[in-house]
Amino acid sequence: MGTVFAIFSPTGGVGVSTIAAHLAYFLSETRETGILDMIPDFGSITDILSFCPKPSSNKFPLIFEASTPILSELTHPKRGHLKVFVMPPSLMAQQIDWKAFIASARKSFAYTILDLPHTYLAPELTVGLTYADQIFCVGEYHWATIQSLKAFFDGCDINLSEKCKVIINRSEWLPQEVIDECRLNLGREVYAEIPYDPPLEAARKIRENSAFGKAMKRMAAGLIPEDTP
Amino acid sequence: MAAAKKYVVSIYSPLGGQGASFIASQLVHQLAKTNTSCLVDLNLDYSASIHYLSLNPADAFRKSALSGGEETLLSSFAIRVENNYFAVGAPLLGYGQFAEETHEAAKELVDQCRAEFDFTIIDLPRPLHVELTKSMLKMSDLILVLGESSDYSAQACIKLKEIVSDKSFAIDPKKLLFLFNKSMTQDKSSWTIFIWQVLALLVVLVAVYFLRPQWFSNPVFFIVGLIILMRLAWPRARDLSKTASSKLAKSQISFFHFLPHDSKSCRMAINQGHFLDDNTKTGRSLKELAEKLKTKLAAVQK
Repeated sequence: MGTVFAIFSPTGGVGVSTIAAHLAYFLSETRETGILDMIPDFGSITDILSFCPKPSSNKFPLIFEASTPILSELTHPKRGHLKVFVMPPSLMAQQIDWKAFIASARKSFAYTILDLPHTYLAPELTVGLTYADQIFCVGEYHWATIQSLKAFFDGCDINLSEKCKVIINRSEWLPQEVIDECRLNLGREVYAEIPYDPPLEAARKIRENSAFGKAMKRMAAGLIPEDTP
Repeated sequence: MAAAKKYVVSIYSPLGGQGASFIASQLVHQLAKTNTSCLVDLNLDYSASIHYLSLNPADAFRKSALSGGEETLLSSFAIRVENNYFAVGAPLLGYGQFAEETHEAAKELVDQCRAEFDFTIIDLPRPLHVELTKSMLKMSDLILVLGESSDYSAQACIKLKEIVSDKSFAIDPKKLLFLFNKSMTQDKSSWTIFIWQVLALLVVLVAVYFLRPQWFSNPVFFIVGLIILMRLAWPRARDLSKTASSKLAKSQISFFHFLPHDSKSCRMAINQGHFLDDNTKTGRSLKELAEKLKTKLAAVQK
């Protein structure tokens, strides 16, 4: 049985999809990895991975069942171990049994990455958070983002809270006192910090050698158990 | 000039982090200069536009939902931000504390707003398959769709137009007005880095001039140098590519308004919770947008 990682942020535009795509890309270096873009209509995983899965949107009903052979068809052309699933248009997405889908992905892949929507209104968010083994909550050192992250943790039950780890994406340069204040306000340990890397903003692509890419590679390496060949 | 009819305008951004909540909060400020206006933030888990104004939205939405359709004086529990500027939003809720308020309650709230204020601006959540978003899009007289200067954002705008044009969605695509936000996309700090990169390149050139002067007679050296320089400048080319522009044109999407690059004043306004002055670039542009919107709404009414 594989491990399911969910990437989530209560606020938009902090780099959730970019982090999810990079993590999946680096995890797939060693083992079978699946990435499920659960953001309806405007998900950006395929854009970041420069890949459009073969079963196009008009064939999506075919993969509602998410059986292993069908999931395996969605192979990234440059990464044999990476399978990409994109959420079908929102009206069709309501027909997906996400619980079964995640269970199927867990059986099929060593690692499954869920790119979750950021609003509590989306029902797939609850499913993703519940069935993930680890949740990476992405934030920035910005007062509004910290406030919403804090509120999210306040509302989590113990089981959910224990699964959550904070990742801070330092997408802009900030004075040290602002960073210190944000850390203090968050009141939770930061699992990983992604360094300031402005060129990445312009190109939503996998960049292995950028500061962002290197940070994600380190993080992915940390998620792989040591006894993995 | 008093508005002849009372209007509801939604602000929708297909992608996150494009500034929809910020623009919503600033646009209402411009509209409220002449007419009573209300900002309704329906991001019920996190009403960012209300928080940008350093306000506590208290329980405005819940109180409205509890009114059960009776006549309520909305302005008595909406937050009065300025003279004519009111705001209604949800309190900051954590995961699990959030009990989904029905879209019926939201509809009722917006109906009340329409009756009471000249302009009601709704800041909408993103998922289109959520009934709340769908019903609000249908109720709106106009929908301001926010785009950014990236190809990906252009694609999202095209996709949105396709989705709402679908029969199952039943929203008139003519209601969509595309707003192009460049206010935060070109970061000044990136330019500082670019200047440092160019300076570093010059230092290398000087070093080569003294250490390996023979390289300068080789045209390959100049070509490589030029490629490096272009590569350094590349990430800052933030305007839409020709491909994206032609795709937008093919989909018959024309931009209703452009917000210029002005990251310094926008960051100040976001971090300090104040309104943009009319003497800032974005402030002026928002004023212009408010006027254009009024004219457009009057035309739609006709």
